[in-house]
Amino acid sequence: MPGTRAAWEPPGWNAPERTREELVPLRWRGLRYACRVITSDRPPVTEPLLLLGGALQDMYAWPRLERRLSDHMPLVFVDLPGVGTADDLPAEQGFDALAEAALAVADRLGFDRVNLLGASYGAPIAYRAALSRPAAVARLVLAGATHRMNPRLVSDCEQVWRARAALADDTDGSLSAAGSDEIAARAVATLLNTGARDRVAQAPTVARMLHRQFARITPAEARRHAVCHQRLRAADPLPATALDAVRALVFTGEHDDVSTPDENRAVAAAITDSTFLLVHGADHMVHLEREAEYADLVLRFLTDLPLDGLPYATAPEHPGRDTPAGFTPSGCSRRCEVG
Amino acid sequence: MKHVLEELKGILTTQAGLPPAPITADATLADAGIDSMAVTVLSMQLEDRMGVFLTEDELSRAPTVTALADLIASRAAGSR
Repeated sequence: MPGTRAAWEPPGWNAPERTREELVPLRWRGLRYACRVITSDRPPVTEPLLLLGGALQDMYAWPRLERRLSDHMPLVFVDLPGVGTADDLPAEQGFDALAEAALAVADRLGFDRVNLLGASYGAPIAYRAALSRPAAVARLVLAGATHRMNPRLVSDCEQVWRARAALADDTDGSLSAAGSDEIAARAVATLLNTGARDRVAQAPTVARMLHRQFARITPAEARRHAVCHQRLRAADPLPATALDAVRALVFTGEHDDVSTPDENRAVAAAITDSTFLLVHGADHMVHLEREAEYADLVLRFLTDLPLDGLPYATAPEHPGRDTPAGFTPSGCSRRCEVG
Repeated sequence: MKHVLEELKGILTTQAGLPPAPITADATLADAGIDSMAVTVLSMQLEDRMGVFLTEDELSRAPTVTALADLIASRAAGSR
């Protein structure tokens, strides 16, 4: 609403000396995995936040969100099976298995209820966890969510990582600088909306940082990434089943072309008590491009503050309230139609 | 040297989005909040502003903020 833009200050950074970090080894169905638990010397203002990141993110991939939110609630960052320090997850194991492993983290830590944030690849895991045990999820945040990612995009990503892994098969695993650059450039191009580069905050920096990260990926990591994308090719990574019992926030960047605004809105429409909005000047990598806004938005939602009038986002929508019974989301984007 | 430290702090706070308080001379890069994103911003800004070429790896190896400023000052002097 014009004239009612709320003034906002991003959540402040917590000083490292005020936080404690505990590394917790976990085991589920014989697989080893781990989480980091960050706690503060201040009393929490909401339930602990269990964060499930994207396919290329391990439990150390959220340093700024960690600094900004750790003063307000315990934070749990997980290397689920198949990610980071965890054991590999066989390709035939799907998102239900990952959701089960995610809920086992809360159980192991003794948390009856958690706030659950699933970003990108983590979104279907978080959604399935909320579906299977809604009483254990105080609030659900889905960032960059889609019922089914554009098959061509998923296939492109999978091929990039399989190519990286295959290039090392006849060598010691290292690539020439040109080979690494080519792989990294292809991977970056699949994740960033290069056509909106001049409208996305920090776009050149994010592109360069991701390029550097991807150029260093080992063959073993590349195989894991390929398996993650193979899993995304399944029929319904994020199921169309409606979610009635958990309040949710669904958001992404307004220029996201990995999980488009319409796809995110369709996910929100399947959740009865959902809020949907878009962050200005960002694409799929909102947590990097507009990290202060990302933290502010998540903190507001997790502490039940209003999301109206935020200068960095579109007006909140509540598509789940108006969704007719029997609604089935298409989950298919503009790029899907041409692919 | 003090000038470089101020320039460094300026880039980190205005371009990389870090809060100023943790960026003290003796702080480690981690305690100062200098993460991968900040190091990338710094590498790009040093090129653009000062014509100094330092890779993210070189910058990340500095043990403290002071050591980082020393590294930048030394490279800037060498490039003149």
